[in-house]
Amino acid sequence: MYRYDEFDEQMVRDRVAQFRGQVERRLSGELDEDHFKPLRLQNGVYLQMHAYMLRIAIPYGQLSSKQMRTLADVGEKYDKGYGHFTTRQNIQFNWIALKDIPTVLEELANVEMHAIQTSGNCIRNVTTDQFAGATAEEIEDPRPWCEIIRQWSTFHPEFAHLPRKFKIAVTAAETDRAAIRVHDIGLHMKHNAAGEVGFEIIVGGGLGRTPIVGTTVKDWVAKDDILDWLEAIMRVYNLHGRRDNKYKARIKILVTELTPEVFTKQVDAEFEAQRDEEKVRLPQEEVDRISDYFKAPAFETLPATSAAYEEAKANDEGFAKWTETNLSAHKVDGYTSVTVSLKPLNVAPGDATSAQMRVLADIAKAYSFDDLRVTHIQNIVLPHIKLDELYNVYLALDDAGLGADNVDLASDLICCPGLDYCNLANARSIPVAMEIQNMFSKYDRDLGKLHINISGCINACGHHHVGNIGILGVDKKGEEFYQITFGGRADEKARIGDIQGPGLRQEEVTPALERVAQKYLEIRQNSDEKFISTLERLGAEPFKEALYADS
Amino acid sequence: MPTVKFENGKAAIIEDAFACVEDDQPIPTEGAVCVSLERFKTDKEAILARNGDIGVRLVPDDDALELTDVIDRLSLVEVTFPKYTDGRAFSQAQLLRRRLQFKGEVRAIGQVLRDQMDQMARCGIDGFVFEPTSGEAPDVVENAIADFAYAYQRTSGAQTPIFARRHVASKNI
Repeated sequence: MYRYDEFDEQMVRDRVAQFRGQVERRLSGELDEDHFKPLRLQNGVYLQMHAYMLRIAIPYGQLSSKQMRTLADVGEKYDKGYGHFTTRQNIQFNWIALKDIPTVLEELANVEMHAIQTSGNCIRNVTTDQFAGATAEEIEDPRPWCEIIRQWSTFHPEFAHLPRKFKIAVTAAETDRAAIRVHDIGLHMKHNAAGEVGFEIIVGGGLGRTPIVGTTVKDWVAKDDILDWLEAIMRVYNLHGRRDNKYKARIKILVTELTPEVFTKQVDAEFEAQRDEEKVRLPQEEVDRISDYFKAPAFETLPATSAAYEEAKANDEGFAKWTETNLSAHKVDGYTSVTVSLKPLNVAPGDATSAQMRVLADIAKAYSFDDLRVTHIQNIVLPHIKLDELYNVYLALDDAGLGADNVDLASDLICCPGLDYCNLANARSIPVAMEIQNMFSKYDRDLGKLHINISGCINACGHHHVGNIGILGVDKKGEEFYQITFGGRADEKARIGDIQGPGLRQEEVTPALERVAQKYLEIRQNSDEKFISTLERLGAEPFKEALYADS
Repeated sequence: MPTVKFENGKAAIIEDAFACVEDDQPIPTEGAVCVSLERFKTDKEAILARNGDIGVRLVPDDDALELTDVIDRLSLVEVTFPKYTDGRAFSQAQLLRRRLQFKGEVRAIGQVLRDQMDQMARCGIDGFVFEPTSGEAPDVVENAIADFAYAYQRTSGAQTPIFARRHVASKNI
């Protein structure tokens, strides 16, 4: 993975010193909360229901074991012994004292971490495929370009006060695990007709109040030009994005109001107008230098099968079941990518304790080339595990309460913190999520792949629009109701789900979803037909009927 | 409010030589003036014909590129931050410096705060009109601009971007 050099190190140290000064000015009263707010927001510090919340950047979701251990320490020393992994592949701590934050940032800086641009109206942490560098599906590893974009976007002075926040996701695989079509900019690395690798640029996707699937504004641009295209897009957005209404300020609204054609023309014109001196002109040596950090680790030459693995599966039913759901194909024979589910029953989805973080760090160090990834589904990936050693890994995980065997199943749901923690929320989401998980855990294996996403308000941090089943908490005259959507998906066939009808009371949600699940089991062609496929084949009607059968 | 000019790593309070002429006021015959873009477009010939330095004041809705054909005649362009959260002036400043290669002063007016000054400077802004909340105005500017030793981007400031510093031997820089 990428390692800081003296320059990266200095940038982060300077930022810590700057923020320490800002906090001092706030605590002394020189800065009032109004003026402090945008400063802390650029550094991941939110004022939540109970305390300040600190969101720490995990660039493109990748962590070393040392970094994971530091997060564990922060959780223990400054929070309540746990942290929350987010859909942005970051981590947030919900109980941090403002006065401690500069010290936390210093401890993070010691392991090349920071909270830069994890909030505020700026370019946020770039995200990518959690299996980057491990999957055979990608045309090349997207992480060097994620790192290049991280550096380009870090403290970019022109784009520090955009109309609204800005999120960039990158994938180099046809199967989209990074949800690039629902980002402000999605970059899809692909070949052109000449066989060169470049980028398809998708702009204007997003969730929130106005969910939209992004539009392709460039079918293919060369790697050498990608930062100049990003500059052109960002400048058009910075100058012309709406600033009169924060709910209409995302780039998706600009693209929609101008029409994608006109927006593309403006971007083309801006790109064409760039003088040679305005081009970024990243030296090839720099691309090579960064790419070198992402070279494949020293994989061994192994057979595609492992006797030890097969034997363990035969002897341990729990392990065998876990391998059915929590493994993904690796590009190298004899290896697999493990997804550690952070969705066991009765735990807030995405939470991990400091003790669990240390176990994950130990396993990554011993078995996965010191490499951990956070997924936007709020799980943790150990990307490179030898099949021969998989059983040991499983036992260690299971021992730490990390053995949930439900990846991509109904109980592996995405959930925002909701009204239990968040100032913006209208309804609780964690209790609803837990209830649904408990109900589905009885038979979610029969149901197969089914993505349920829950948000506690219209801002959609729980990505409800792109859940196969989406649940949105709303407040109606002081009572919490839950609106259900069907048919959303965040992958390469991204689609916004359709609202089915009136909202349900909290106690009605789980029984209603159970009826929907039963209906699916009844009408699917066979057990290979996923929920989303049955829904797309037959339409929402039979499921909607089941949803409201009781009312 | 003091106007601070930042030049060659030093900040100093300067006398504002430009008379700010509102759109409904007559333009004085002598001396340096600063007018809105709207006024400049309306009275362009007269303004260009008179004696004295010319400044143009941009608001965020203005297109800085409308100054393309007269840029060499201008000594000052003011860019406005109606609120510090409105970042359009950053792009205007970059366009002035990098697209139009403007060599005069780009001055920030409006809500000009200490914690945005580094960003402003890196976009090519070298004049700051503001009231310091504490300390002397030139010190505030110098300290703010000194917050970061390096920068990742090639922008309007004089800084060599990090990626170029890393490869000093490269011919590509």
